[in-house]
Amino acid sequence: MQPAFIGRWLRSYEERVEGARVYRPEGTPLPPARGRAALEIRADGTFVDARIGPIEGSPPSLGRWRSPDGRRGMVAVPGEPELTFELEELDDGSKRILLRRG
Amino acid sequence: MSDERQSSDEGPNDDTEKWLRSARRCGTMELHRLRLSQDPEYAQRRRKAEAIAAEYEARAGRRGARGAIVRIPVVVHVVYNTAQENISNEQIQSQIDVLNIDFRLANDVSDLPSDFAPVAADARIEFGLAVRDPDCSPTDGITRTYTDTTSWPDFSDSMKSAATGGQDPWPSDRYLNIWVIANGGGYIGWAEFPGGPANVDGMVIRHGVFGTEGTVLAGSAFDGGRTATHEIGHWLNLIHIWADEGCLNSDDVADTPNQADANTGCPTHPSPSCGNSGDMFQNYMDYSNDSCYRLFTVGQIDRMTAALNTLRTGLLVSDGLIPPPRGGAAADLWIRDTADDIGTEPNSTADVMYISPDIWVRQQDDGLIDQTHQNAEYRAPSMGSNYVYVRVRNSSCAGSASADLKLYWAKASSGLGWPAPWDGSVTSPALMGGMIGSQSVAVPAGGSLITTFPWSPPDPDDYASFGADRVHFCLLARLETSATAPFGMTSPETNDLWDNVKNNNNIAWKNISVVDEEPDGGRMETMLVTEFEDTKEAARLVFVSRDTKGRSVFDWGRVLVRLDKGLREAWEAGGAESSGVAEVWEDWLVVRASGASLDALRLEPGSFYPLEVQFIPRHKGVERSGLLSLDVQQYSGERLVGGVMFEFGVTAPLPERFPTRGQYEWDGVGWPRDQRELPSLLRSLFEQLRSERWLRM
Repeated sequence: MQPAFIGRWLRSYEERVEGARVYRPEGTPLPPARGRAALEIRADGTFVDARIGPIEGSPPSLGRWRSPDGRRGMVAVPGEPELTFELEELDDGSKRILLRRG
Repeated sequence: MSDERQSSDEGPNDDTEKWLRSARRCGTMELHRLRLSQDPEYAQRRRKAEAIAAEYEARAGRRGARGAIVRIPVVVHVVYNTAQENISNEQIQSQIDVLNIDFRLANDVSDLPSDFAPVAADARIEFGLAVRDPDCSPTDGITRTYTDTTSWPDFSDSMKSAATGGQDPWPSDRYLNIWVIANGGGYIGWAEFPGGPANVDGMVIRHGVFGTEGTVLAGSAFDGGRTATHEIGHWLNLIHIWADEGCLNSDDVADTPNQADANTGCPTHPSPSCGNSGDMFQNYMDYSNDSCYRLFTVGQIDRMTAALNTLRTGLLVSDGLIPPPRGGAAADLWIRDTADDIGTEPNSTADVMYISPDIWVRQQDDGLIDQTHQNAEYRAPSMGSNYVYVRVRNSSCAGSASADLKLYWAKASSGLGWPAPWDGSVTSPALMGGMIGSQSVAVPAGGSLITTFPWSPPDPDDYASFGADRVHFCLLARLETSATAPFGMTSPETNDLWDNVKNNNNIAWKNISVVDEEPDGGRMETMLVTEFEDTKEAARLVFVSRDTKGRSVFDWGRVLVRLDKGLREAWEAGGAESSGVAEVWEDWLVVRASGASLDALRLEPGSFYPLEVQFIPRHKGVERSGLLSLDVQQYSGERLVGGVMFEFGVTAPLPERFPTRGQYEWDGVGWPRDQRELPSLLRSLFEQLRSERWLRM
């Protein structure tokens, strides 16, 4: 079975978690924004970190992910600090990913 | 990658309301258009662009205080599939109006936090729908193109080419191209940085966030027309205020707080991150709602100015806002009298005639082509000359034109005539004017040419009798197309210089005095009042601010003037009449408000009367850095004959730079206790003002 974090995730700026960026599954109702950063965690091991960057349309970073338990993972992006992510299931049944540097 | 872009696209959705409320409208996950991978030279050009801009910023100085107003011609390409997407001219104009508010700081900033207020500044950039198209035909600056495309992927270039269902750009070096498109994809707008490919340069925006009416949904997060403000910030080389996620990245602007991430919605101040005292979510380059946007900072404006002067110079010479001449072909050379002059004869502007932006001085040959003026500076011949630049324009659609460009100087005064003193005929008390040079110019149709005149102003010792006024000179440029009178002028010249300039687009005049910033303690300058012709009429000096009410020299400080003995006698001879002016101490008068005047001056023709003008900023009153202007206009009877415009550079006090400790501060006027430069005279004056409570009026 493929891990539950496989898929596309949109940055939820409205949720502030210390030291982490919060992402919600694409399709989650989020307020309108000028743009939202996004993650794509692909089953083939590719990790796409589409931060907004200096301008709308900045190129994304591409990396590789690995996960020991199907819930947490580590990401290596060439030239950037290592990232870790964690899938959280909240009491209301919703899911989110917390992405941290290092 | 293109497959993914297609598959992740949201598909058609032309219902603005539904779209604005849609949770998925930002649901793009597809890879962004990879300029970097499409164009290997792009990164190199961008690095070069950054280096050029940085070098410019280092050279230009005068932070946030560009004198010239830059007007950018805009063409809006409406690329529509449905009738709704074919937005109205009124909606388009509403967007232009918003830009002209935001880039001139004409919006309400009264609720800005006190730590941000000092860095909010006027970008002095304006926008107008083009009135001349690339073929030199009249236009309303709008193109309308039907397309079969119902939705566009993010960062698509398809709308920018007729071959792919869109509209080709107008030459992007001379026009800002804006494509207004249907909804679809995730982003509501995007733009190109300077240095990108010319054929896609410009900005793309959804019609539902373009302007403030029509298909814009009132009450939505993006109903204020400020998505375009943000995108044009990018187009002028600004990057997002948070730069990139995390605290390690900078937006290359010193006066924006380091900020961890984008803000959305409308946070409450302070909303700190990265150890700052609060994110500047009011900045146009954040991601906040339109209603929360308030400012560009001085540092951001410097970056935009650098971009205009190095990477987007074609805009500065664009004729997109000059109507093509009726008939089209007749070659006509002209020089702009005022920022809004389009070459008509007579000039229909309500503004004064002595502020030509097409004549400017630089103390070094630094090629500052946005036409920002400095005072001429006398220096020893071995130190090199000053440089006077004159821009000559050809309004024709076909055919180059040539003329002799003659440039003259005169010692600055408010009442200049013609031909004296420009012709060198006034030699007492010193040489009061003369010709700087004459050059043949030939300008191609629709073009413009900057002509450079090296110039060494006369020795200031010759003007010792005028006190402090040694560095201010007036300039006059005339284009002669014939060697005999009337020299090709539409209206033959008379002694009335004002009328000569107004009636002939071949003549332009500049009397601007730029008062450089000094340490606290005020800015004192001297101007000359004179009357070269015996008009038999009493003269009148009127003090006028051209700044927004609430942000003028009169609001942000005190304007004091001192009449020299001769001028005082001329004033008293007429009964010492005045309006809005009060005597405070000995020869000093305080000018209370715009429109105040000294009346019924009995000037001796040919005499020169020094008038000292002092601006004392109130540090608690000066809310932001920039330029404050003061016009001193001279009337002969009811006729405006001339004047001098002062531009005072002011720096708003940043809290950390102006600790109250160690300062002498009183009623808003403060200066360091040990400020040696502060003339003792002024100190006495302040004491006097205080005792008479004048500064509390």
